[in-house]
Amino acid sequence: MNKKLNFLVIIDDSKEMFQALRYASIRSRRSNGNVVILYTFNNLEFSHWKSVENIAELELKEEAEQKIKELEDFVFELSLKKPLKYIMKGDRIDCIINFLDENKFVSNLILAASASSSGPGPLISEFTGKSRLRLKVPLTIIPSNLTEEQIDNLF
Amino acid sequence: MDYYLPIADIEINLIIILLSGFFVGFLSGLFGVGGGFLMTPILIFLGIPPATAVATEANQILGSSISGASAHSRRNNIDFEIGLFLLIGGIFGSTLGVILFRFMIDSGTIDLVISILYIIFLAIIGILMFAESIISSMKPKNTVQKNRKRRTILDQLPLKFRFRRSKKYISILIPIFIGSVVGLMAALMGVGGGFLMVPAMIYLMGMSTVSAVGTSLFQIVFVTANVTILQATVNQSVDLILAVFLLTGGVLGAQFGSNYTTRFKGEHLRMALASLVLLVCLKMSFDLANEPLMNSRIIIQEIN
Repeated sequence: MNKKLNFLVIIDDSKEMFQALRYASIRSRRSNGNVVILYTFNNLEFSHWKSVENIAELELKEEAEQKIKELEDFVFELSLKKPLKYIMKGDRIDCIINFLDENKFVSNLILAASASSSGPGPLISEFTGKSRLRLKVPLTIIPSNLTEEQIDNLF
Repeated sequence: MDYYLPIADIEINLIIILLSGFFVGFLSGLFGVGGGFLMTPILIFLGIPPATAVATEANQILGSSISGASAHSRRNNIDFEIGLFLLIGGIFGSTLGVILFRFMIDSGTIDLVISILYIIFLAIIGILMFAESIISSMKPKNTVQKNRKRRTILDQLPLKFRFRRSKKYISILIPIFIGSVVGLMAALMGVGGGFLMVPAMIYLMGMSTVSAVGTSLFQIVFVTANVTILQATVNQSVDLILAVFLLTGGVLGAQFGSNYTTRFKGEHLRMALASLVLLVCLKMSFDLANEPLMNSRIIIQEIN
């Protein structure tokens, strides 16, 4: 048996996130590893009042938990394992880098490219561009023209 | 780079205006609020007549909140139904405010009224900011609760409307009232009023914070547009050159400021802002008590 591989997927509202999640689920099942999902949120850009900021944080956390709950079943169906779930607060890029630095069990970061003409998406642009030097795990990019079936049959 | 501002009727160094715009823009980038309540007093300190400072500042807020409002619109954070009623109130309040403004210009009391309003208002805000920073830093963090299910007198108001987006069944009088107060303040004080409107929407209407911020910006854009147009036509008190320089400095400052939000700890930042607000309040009270404003000073010459 090969070494267990754990695949990190960053949660957002994009369509292509599901591509990444699918790929990560299939691969983790084959390698007996885990899907790791990371949800990051930024606090509200309104910090005049402390109490408003506190409520905002509470709401954003609830939203994060809700979103993760929805995705849990999706991952479970494909990988037959519950994903490892993490929520972090702060700038998304900084969160991802810190998370990877602190959690060495992650073997691969999975991002899916957007089909949009405006570019592959903010995370891919960032990690293949400016922030590439901060990344310490291999990055896998799922092309946007793969169908679900093709992803399932990749291995 | 001294330049004569035709409406403000004063010769002033535009670099100073640019820097002040930058400074307040930086703060508003940090805190996510418009910063009108600091900019107007600073303009007054620089010698701009209060009436011009207030009207021009409304124009600056208009410019600086457009980008915020459109960003929130893209992220689908604006509740347009509630926003509409806030706006109805806002247009009413701000139009009333500009008319009052006219009366006070005619009676020569406008500068005094603006100063007094600011002193009261800055004192309240500064003290509240201090108080809540201290109180909430004493409370453990996980005790924060949303007490939204409680029934209050607000539930008994007539004209209830079902707001689908925010899933609220509340009287339209609440957003109209909040909007009116903020509109009145926009006209009389040149503030956007987000720092007041956002907590009101959260606590009185039970909106989610994200949607409250987005919707308040939507209201601010149109209310400050109304104020700008009316102040310019009714009172001729909007100085466009001043506004352009403030806005340029402000936009640059806000860009810069928003990069630093994560680097400072919220608590220290808020304490600093509260101190600044109180300092401005003190300076204003001092000026009011000690010296007549340049523009209202009467010079009596004796001719032999």
